[in-house]
Amino acid sequence: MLKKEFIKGLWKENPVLRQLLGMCPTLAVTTSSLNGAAMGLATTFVVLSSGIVVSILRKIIPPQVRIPVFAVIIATFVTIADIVLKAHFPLISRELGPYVPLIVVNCLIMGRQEAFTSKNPIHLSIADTLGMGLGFTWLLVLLGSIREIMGMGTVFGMRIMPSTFEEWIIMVLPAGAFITLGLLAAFYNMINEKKMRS
Amino acid sequence: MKDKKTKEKKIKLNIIPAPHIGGSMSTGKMMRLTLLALLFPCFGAVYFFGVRVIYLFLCCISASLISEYAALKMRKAPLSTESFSSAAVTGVILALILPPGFPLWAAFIGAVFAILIVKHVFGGLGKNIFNPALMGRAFLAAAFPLIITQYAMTPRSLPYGLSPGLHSDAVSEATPLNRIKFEEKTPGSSFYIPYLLGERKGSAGETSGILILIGLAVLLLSGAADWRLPLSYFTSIAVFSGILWLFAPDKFINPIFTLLLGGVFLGGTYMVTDPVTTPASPKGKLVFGIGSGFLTVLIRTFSGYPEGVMFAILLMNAAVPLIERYTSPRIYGT
Repeated sequence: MLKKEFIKGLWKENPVLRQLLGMCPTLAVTTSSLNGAAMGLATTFVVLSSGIVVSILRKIIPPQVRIPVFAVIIATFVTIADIVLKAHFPLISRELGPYVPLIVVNCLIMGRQEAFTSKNPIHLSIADTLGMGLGFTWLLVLLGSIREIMGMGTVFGMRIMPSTFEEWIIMVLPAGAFITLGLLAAFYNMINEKKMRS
Repeated sequence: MKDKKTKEKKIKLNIIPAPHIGGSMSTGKMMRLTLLALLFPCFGAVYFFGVRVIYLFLCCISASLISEYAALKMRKAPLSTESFSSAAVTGVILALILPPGFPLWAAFIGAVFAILIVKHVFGGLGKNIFNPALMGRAFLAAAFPLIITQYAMTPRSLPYGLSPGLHSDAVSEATPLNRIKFEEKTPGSSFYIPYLLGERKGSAGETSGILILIGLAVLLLSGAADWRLPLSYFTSIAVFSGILWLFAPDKFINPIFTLLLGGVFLGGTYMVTDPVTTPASPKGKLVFGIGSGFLTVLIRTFSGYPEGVMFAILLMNAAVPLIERYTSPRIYGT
C-alpha cells in the first residue's frame, strides 16, 4: 500500500506527463538541469511538508473553508523554501526569480491536498506527496537537461558536446520548452500504449 | 432457391455524400503544378548564387522525403504519392527561403523539423495549421540566429565549382532590407530594374521577382492557386506601405521597394496560396491576404526585424480557423 502510493507518482500518475499539472514552473524554469532540479526539490519540500500538516489537521479543517486553509499552509512552506534558498543558494534563487514564491499557486500541490492528503492518514500522505514531488523533480531535471544540452551544450554546467556543436538557441527560449515537453508527453503516451497492448 | 430470391431483392444503392460535382483538380495534380511553378525561382537561385544552391536544394528535398517516409511509417499511414510530392514542395520552398550559403546540416534540421513537427504532429498532409516550410525557417531563425543572417550572399560571389563548402572569397553582406532597417540607407530609383531581375542579396529564391511572377502566372492560369490570395496580399502591402510613405516619404520606403525587396513576391506566390494553411472561402481568402499584407508592413516598419513576410504569414495561418468561422457561407437550409 505504502509502496504503491509512492510509486504511482513517478510514472503511472506522473504530475507533469499524466496529470499535466504545474505547467508554469515546468515550462518557465527548466532552461538548465540545475534550475530544474532546484525547482523540483523546492516543490517536493513544499508538497511533502504541507501534505503532512494537512493530513494531521484533516479532521478539524471545516470542509467549507478547506481551500483557504490549504493555501495558508502551503504558503507557509513556500515562504520557508524561498527564505532558505535566498540564504543558502543565492545564485539559484536569483535564477529562479519569481517562480519560487509562485510555487504557492502550483496546482500540483493544491491538487494533492484536495485529492489525497485531506482524506488519508499521515503515512500514506507522506508516500503519496513524496512520490509526486520526486516524479515532478525527475521530469524537470530531464527537461532541463535536454534543453541545456541542446541549447548550451552543457549539463549541470559541464560541457559535454564537442566544441564544433552549434547551440540551438531556440531550446533555451520558451518555444523550446513547449516543443520538448510536447515530445516528451508524446513518447510517454507511446510507451504506455505499447505496455497496454502487450 | 431461397438464396437466389434474396439476391434478386438486393437493390444496388450507392450512397455517396456531397459534393456530387467534382473538379478536375486533385491533390497530386496541384502538387505537380506547384513543383513546375517552383522551377522558375529555382533556376533564378542557381543562376544568381551558383551551383552550391543545388546542394541546398538536394539537402532540403532529401531531408523532407526521408522524414515524410519515417513519419508515415511511424503513424502506419499509407505511403501515398501525394504525401511525398507535398513533402518535396516543402523541401524546395524551404531551400528557396534560406540564405544561399546556409550550412547544409542546419538546412537538414530545418527540413526535418518542418515535416516531422509542423506537418505530421498536426496530422500530416492537409491537416497542418502552419506552413511547414515557413515554420522550418522560423525554427532555424530562432535556433541559429547568427548563422541565418551570416550567409546572405552577393549574387555571383559564390564559386561556380562543385564543392559544397564555401570559399573564402564568397562575399556575405547585409541585404537591402537590413541596410534600410539598420543603416537607414534607402536605395535610389535606379535600382528598380536590377531588383526586379534579382540582382541583390537575399534568400536563395526570393531575389528574382520576375521569375517568381512567371511561376505565379503558371499557378493562376492552371487553376492551382486562387487569384484572390496573392492579389489581396500584394495590394494590401502596396496600400499600407503607400499610406506610410505618403505621410513621411523620407522616413519610410516607397511601396515599389516594399514590394520588390525581401520575400514579398515569394511569400505571396507560394506561401499565401498554400491551400492547406489558408482559408477556403473566397471572402476568407481576401481577409487572409489583406491581414498578411498589413502584418508584413507592420513588422517591417515598426519591429526590430528587417523582414516581416514570414512572421506575418505564420500569424495569419494561426488566425485561419477564426477567419473561416466568420466568413464561411451559410449552409443552405440552416
